[in-house]
Amino acid sequence: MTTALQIVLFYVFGAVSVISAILVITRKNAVHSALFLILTLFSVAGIFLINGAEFIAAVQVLVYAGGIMVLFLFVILLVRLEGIEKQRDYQTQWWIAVPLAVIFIFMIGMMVQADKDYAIKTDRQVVSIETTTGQEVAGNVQEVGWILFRDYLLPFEIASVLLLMAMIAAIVLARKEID
Amino acid sequence: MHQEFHAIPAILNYFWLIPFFPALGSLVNGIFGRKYFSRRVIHLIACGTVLISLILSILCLSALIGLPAEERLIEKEIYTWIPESTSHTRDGATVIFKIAAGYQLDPLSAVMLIVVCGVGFLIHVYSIGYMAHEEGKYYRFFCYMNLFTFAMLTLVLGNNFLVMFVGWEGVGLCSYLLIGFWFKKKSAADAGKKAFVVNRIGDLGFLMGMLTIFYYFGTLDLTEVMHNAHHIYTVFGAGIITTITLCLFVGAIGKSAQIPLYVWLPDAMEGPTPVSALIHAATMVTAGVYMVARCSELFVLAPISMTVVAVVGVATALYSASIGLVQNDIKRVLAYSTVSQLGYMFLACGVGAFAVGIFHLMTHAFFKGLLFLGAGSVIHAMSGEQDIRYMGGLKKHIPRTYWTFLFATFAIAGIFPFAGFFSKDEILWKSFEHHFVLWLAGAIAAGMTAFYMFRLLFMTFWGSEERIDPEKKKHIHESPNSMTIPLVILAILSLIGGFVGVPHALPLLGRIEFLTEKFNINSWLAPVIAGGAHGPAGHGELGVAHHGDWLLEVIMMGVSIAIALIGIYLAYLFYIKKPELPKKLAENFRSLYQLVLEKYRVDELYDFLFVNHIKWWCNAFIKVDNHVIDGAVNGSAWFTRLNSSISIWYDTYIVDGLVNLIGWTVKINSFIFRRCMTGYIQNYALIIIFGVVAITCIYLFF
Amino acid sequence: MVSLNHYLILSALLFTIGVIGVLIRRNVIIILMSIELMLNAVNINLVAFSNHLDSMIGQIFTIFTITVAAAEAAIGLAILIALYRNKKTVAVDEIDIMRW
Repeated sequence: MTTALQIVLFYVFGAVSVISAILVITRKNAVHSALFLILTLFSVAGIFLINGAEFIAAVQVLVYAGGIMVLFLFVILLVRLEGIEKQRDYQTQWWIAVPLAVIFIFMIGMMVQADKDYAIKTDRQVVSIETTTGQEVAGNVQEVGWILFRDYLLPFEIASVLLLMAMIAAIVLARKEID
Repeated sequence: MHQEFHAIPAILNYFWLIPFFPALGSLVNGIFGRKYFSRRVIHLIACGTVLISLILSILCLSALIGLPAEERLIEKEIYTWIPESTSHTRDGATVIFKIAAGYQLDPLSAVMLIVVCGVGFLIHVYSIGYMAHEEGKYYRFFCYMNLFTFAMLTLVLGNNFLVMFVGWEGVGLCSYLLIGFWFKKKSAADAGKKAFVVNRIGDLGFLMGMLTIFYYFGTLDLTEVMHNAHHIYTVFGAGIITTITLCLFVGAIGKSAQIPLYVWLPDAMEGPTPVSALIHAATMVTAGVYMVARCSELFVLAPISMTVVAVVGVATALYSASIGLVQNDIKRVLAYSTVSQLGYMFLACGVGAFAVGIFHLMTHAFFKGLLFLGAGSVIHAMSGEQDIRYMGGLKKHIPRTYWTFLFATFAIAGIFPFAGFFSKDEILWKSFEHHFVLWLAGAIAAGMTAFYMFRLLFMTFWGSEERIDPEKKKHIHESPNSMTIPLVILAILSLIGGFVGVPHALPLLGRIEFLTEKFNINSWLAPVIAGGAHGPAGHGELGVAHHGDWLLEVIMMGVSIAIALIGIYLAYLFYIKKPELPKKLAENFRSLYQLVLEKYRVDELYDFLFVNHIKWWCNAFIKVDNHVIDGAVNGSAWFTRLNSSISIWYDTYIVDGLVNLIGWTVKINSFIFRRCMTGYIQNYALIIIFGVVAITCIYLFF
Repeated sequence: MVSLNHYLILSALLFTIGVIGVLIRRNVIIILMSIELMLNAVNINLVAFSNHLDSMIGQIFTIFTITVAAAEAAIGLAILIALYRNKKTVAVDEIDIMRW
């Protein structure tokens, strides 16, 4: 894509994600926070698209925004939250936390502006299919699939076991106690 | 040293068993007698063992007679403590040194064996009847009697001074045990202690003598010592031998109750009468005489000690006879009589006639044993009465006792042909040969002896019965057979026992060769005793007669009989014809009478001189023991308690304090530091972020 | 020209906002959502670097991150439900049993 489009899209998606992130953490109503989080996730997906990671963007929308957030919403509905409006929702320690975080972001900014060279040396030159096999690539999805199922098969399988475990654990933890 | 034997009779190999049987009997009775044995079994064991020893002694004696005179020495070692090694006399001559429990049998010990076993057996049998009324202590009595017999036999049979000393101490111990037999009675317990303590003083002398012997002779074996006696005498002079013999004689003084250590014997009458008979008439007190006779080789080399022995002996004889004149207790009279007769034995030894001393020992055992047993029979008949002032006319009631007592009294008075005549007369003759004054003192004592013994007889058996307590008169009865048969046997022995010592000079009987040479105790003992059968060649300066002057001897015999008859007549006069005479004399000489009655107050003198001082020291030591020693012990206990209380304080405050301090420190710190644990995860997250920021800072700026 | 730095700063910003959310809010659900925010910021970082370095590793890693995030969200919410059943509250500062 052209540079101008990149810049515009970056700033749009970036602004949306930051603003909605801020709104996520500041809303009293949990459902509002969840909805704003969904918006944030969508804009993050947009950023993924800008960087050419279409598969990741799709997965982000499907899994994150579609699965996890629905889960969040269900849990919010399960937990009855009447009376929460009368209570305070910010901790006492926000006096310390916010300045600390601001300091943190400044430091990161300083680190970034130090203009270091971010070339990371890797001994495995798994860069892209092009460099390894030398054939034409049909797109990001193919590339991801190729590398995922060839070089990183074992982590993939482990990830699936992990999901299984998580599923079982979630069921066990959340079920009603049998008297 | 062993000699070459050819064809010794087999029995002599077993002579060492003689002390074994009474020891066994004592052990068995002592261990099992209390609960398991009936009285019958106890006295059967006790008397039986002594009987076996007696039979064995008789067999050994007859076997010994069968041997020629030079070979009559048989030694046997039971147990070797220190084996044979060469030692040196003081001047370098080599001798063989060996300490072993050994026994020897020679003519002298054979005579003593017969006396001890024979008289001992009769007294054991007598005790069956006498102690029949004892409650619960029957076995103890026989156990001690057997133990005594064993100790006495060891003394007599020992072949070295150590074994003799073991027996010496053993009889002293048994004397204590038996005198204090009725220990619940205070006077009896005190008498036992007195006997033992006074004996001990003598034993110290014996021990000194023994050690001096070892120092100079290098050995303690009897045969070796006697063998080397003359050699030592020539090398070291008479002084050493005199010292040795005087020390040994001190032992004899203690054991045989001479002046000044006789004080225990009258008090020893607190014991049962058989004990008095056995120990204080026949056997233990004669151990001193035996020892002196055994060491005759040493004594003849020291004329000074011979003189001392003779003087002490005759002085004792005279002194105690004078006390015996006025005593009123049967047994006391007999006790002082014993002391007196022992004096005679030492007189004999002192003038060199050791064999005669042993002869008198033998006859004395017979008649004095009989006298004591008879007195016991009288006491038994009189239901415990011992004071002759409350007796009289008993000869109708207890004839057997009376007749045997009469025989014994004739014997002790020295009337022909009873046993005492031969021995006592021989002593007087030997002392007459030696020194006139000795004879005179001895003769006066003989007269006194006759007087007081017949006084005893008359007051007890003759006269009217009015002095007897009516209660006791009802119960007068003759003693049972077990008591009277030994009396009869001893009476027979008192009659015929003297015929082993018939002197040449006696008219008619003296002609019989058999009696004077073969069957004669002097020739029997000759090989063992210094100077042979008839004393050493020399005699004292005032010795009036020569050896072999037989006419003078016959005249002296007549004189002794006359003195005895005068004593008897005087006793008859005083107590039968004119009974008021003694009282008048006592009134006239009140203070003298009182003094003699109270035994010259010697006990009180000893109390004043020695006993009170020692008691004071004992009390002082008791105080030391209570305050210092117990105080030290208590003090250490107090100190330990102090230590422990300090430790307690230390443990509670310091050690526990340290531990508590650690806990307290943790507690105090935790008050501060536990505030971190708020339980709020957001606080924890905050701290994580802090850390991240810090690391980032470090990364950025350093 | 959008250089890598822009993406890094964006990611850092989102991360910080997520951190603030974790530290500040009392409601456990909001905290869990903030954690998701943080994970997303990381994902942005990974993809940006993947794009910059022409390497697929970043995207592969992103897939795994998303997987783990999903598992963690599920379990976290299950715990939250169990916690709500026992304590009847979803405010973190009322859950202080591990307090001193």
